[in-house]
Amino acid sequence: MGSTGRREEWAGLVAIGLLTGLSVLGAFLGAGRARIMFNSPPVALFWLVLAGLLAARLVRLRTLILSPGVFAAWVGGLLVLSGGLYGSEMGHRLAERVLGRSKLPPGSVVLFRGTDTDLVLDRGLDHRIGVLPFSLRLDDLRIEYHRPRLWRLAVFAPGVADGGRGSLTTVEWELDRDVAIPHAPARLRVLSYSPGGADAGDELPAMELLLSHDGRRLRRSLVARTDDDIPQTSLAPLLDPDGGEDEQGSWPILFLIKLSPAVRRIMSDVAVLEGGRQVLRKTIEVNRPLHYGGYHFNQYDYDREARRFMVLLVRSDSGLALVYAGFGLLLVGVVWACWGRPVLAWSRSRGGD
Amino acid sequence: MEIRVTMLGGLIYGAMLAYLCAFVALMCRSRKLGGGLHVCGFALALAAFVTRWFQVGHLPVGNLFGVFLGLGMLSYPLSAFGRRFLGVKSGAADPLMGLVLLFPVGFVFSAEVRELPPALQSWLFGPHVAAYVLAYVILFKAGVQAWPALLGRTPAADRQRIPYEMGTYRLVRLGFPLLTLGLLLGAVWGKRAWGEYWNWDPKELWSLAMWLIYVGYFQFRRMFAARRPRIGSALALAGVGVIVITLTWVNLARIFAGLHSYAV
Repeated sequence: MGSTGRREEWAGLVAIGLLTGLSVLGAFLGAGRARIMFNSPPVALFWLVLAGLLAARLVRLRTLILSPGVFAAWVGGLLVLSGGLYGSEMGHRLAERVLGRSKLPPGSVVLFRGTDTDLVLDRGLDHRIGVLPFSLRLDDLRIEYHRPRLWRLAVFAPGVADGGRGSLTTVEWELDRDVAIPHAPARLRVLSYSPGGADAGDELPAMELLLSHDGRRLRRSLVARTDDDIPQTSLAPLLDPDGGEDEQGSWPILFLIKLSPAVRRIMSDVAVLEGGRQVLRKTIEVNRPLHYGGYHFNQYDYDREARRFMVLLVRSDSGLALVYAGFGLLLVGVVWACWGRPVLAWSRSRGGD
Repeated sequence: MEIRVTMLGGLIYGAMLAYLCAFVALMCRSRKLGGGLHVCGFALALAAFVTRWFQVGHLPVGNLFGVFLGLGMLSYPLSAFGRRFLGVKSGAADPLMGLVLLFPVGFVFSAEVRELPPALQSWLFGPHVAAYVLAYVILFKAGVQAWPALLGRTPAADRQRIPYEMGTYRLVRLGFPLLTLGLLLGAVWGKRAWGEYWNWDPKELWSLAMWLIYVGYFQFRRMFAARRPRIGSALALAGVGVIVITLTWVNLARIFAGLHSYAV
């Protein structure tokens, strides 16, 4: 290997080390600040140098063609970098200036049910950053849950975990069985439980508990009187040696609470309009974005209470084909370099036997 | 720390006990008994994994409990593959690795069955996490080979024929494409779910750092061949260190909260 080749190898190793260090630093900074750091002018210069290094290696085709896997991975890496640069905000500005192609940088669209809009705002929804060449209309917004809301027995232990702010833990119980109360030196036994009405809508439970600690026993009842009620009982009379009331809120509290169910699907029916005419209709979900007119639209946020509006993330698809082609080549190259050659050599050696 | 008094818990503790006995037997040079116990441990861990799959209704790798169960289960298949195709024999270290990986499953991580959030309901969920789990366990084993190589030791005559440095290299070469696949599938999935293939999320950045360390390992080995085996082994161990950080600290610590926080 010549001195130029050696210098390139060293430059590659230094670039890998630098990018590793920046990645770890970015992880500590958090996504928002890491994004700013990796798009800052000095790091943008580093990306360009890295792309240059990869391209420079391609000039040495003879060396790379001898190892097609490394060559494919090399080209793949270059394509990913190029696509990423082209799809960045800087790439968008450059494409507009040089190629006259004008596409909006990443932003958000707020869609109110039944109305159409082409307005794109920034991610914080504070400033307008442009208009789309078409409009979008939200026809419907539907949310499916995994199961109905459930009443659960829970304990709140002040001063435990979460920086001393307290910990909320559900208690797993069975009728007539002693169980330990999490984060409290006491046990409980559910003597009776009535789930209330048969329909989920009018289900108001009642529970009778036997609490015990250090030979002391207390009977307590938790009865929900309305759907929003949180019936509760403090463990202070059981745990406090003085047996007083818990005016400071420093003892664990047991309560019945109606937990919100987990969201299963969020579906927004969106129509695409051109010149006031509907040209496409699609149900957008978290893993099913809308792709139209050179833009991808992903669910970003929604009105959890009244379901009147939906926020979509807008991202132009500039450079994406390059990135995906790069991913494919990178993977094929790595697989060939790491697995293909040894398997080929192994099968040849078996054939030789 | 909690004890799981369930069928799943019984299978996990059974697998841990079998791994422990396999480790002791192999340390006492009782290969047949050790190998048999290692297979028993694998069978019990596999049964635990299948039970968990039925419990949650999908590939059970949506949280750390399932991921570590998968990692612990793979200890034996990887050991057998390494012996048969790579010439790598780690002996008692393999069941010990399975035991260490199953310990947090048995005593630390929550076994609560949680519903999949919308972002995880994708066909990419299984392949993305499975690729990472496979890569991690292979690279852990590479770390097991890298440690004696770093200390300058050579394998005993009755153990593997290849040097530890070569064993490390073969295992990294086996695991690295899976690491790459996991990273790229994650990027494609990120584009579909969140609109961007790269979100600068802390876990993404740690995963990139991990991938780059192994790229650096290959680059270093290419430059110096086997002339500086200790530095190459140190890089392989640094990769294992970042895997441990990504699996534990990044998943559990609040300072790395981000899009991947559901994985706890």
